[in-house]
Amino acid sequence: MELKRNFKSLIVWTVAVGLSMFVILISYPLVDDVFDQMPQEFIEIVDIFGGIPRNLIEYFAMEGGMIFQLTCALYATLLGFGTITKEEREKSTDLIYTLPVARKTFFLSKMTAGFIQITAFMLGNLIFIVLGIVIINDYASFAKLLLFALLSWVLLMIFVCFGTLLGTLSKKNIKQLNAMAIPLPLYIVSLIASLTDNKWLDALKYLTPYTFSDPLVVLKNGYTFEVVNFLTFTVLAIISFFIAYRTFVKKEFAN
Amino acid sequence: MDIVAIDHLKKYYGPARGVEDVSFSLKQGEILGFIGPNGAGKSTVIRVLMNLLNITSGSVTVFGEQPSHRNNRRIGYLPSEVNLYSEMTVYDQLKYFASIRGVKEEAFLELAETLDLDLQKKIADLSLGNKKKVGIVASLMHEPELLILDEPTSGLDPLVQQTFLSLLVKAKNRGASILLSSHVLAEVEKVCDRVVLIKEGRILFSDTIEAIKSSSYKKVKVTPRVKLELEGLKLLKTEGNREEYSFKGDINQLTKALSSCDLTELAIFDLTLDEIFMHYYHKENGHD
Repeated sequence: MELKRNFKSLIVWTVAVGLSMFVILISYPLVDDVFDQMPQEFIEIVDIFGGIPRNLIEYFAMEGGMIFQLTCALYATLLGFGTITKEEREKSTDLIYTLPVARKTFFLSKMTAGFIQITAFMLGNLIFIVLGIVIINDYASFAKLLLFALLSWVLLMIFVCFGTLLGTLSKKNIKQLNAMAIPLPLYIVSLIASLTDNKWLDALKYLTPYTFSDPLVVLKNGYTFEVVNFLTFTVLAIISFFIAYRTFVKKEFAN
Repeated sequence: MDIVAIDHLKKYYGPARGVEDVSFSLKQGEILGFIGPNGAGKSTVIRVLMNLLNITSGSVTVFGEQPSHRNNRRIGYLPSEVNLYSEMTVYDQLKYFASIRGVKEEAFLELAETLDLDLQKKIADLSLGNKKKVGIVASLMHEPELLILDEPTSGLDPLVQQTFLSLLVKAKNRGASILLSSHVLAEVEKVCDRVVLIKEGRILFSDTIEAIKSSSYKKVKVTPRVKLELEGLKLLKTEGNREEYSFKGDINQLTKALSSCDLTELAIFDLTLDEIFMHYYHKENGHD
């Protein structure tokens, strides 16, 4: 039922994000020509932000990867938040949560549906991205792209858990858009960390889950897996999941 | 065994009162009218029974157990506001409920036909009354042993109200117990065996309809004004040359007192349930 109810929004988000990535990818030949004609001073500035891309995947890392992660993270958090609060917002709790179904079953089926949707969303986007690659016919670093997709999928699972926790702890009238308060600030933190040489500010990268799947690191620069960051946020997501579970099971539904 | 047993139930939402002290029971095959003004705590009690709220203190059992999703299989619940999945059709929504409750399609199709419900319409396009009908079908489709109905007839037209009340009687006849929360005392009077009156989170009284009606007040209208004085007799209002009294006591004493008066008109009525409860409310507010 959850999947059926969220199908339209899944399609809209997948097509919107996937199409954007596709357009970015197929514009690579144009941009590549522009890079070729760039003055040296400008190339030095571009180097601060990761340097000139050598192939399509590197170009995607610079121009599409971060936007891709941010929009996907927004979708995942909104999905986690919305899935768990939908009945309260629509005031259908009276009829739905009085069915002979245990609360834990409701929770687990909602979360399963959420995880399935995120997986479908990632696969859908990957299809658009691969289509762009096929059209441009530049398969360099393709394996890295698959690794990036896998890490992004984990990132989205983490955001689903954070969104779910926020949803279960929220009062019933809170707007779903408030869930954006999770992925946006964390993204800005990761942006600040990536743009600085200051070692203190650089340490900010450990406060955001975007670090372990940073597209520039995974797809372009020499890849080093941020184990600490990955484990920290995976554990935090698991803890969020269990707190959300316990809160939901004990939650009261007043008028 | 009591189907529902509530003993000194107290429920607070933080510092706000839900109910203060509620005790009553519902017996097998009984229709119990649960009445009271807005904010009295009726819905809070019902939500506790449906396992939507936890209790602060006291005890609540349904079928001898604490409220839980397991009991809900045996319960049909109709909330005061029926909110459903707006993007679905009536048919899909009812099929969803039927699949969870493990009942066949025929069970809800028949009820939908009885209530003249259009199954192909989207929930979002339904009027308040039609949404209520969907709620009624959902609550009755599995022939529950216990029906908990919160303001079931609000939004229904008189014809459907009548059909609904006959469905209730049918459910009672097959042995179901029914807790009926309502503001419409006429329907309570029509179908209920017993009544529980709640006000400000406390039960004011509980009795059978029959006992309430037989032991309660009469309305006495006399013309001309005679200024009657008798124990249990109270002047309600004066209209021109006519006086209206309420009376509770020995009717023979009343007729004896009236026989000594020179009257041109005399009428003695039973008070309606409405008037009786208004009397109780006022009495509790110290107006008596």
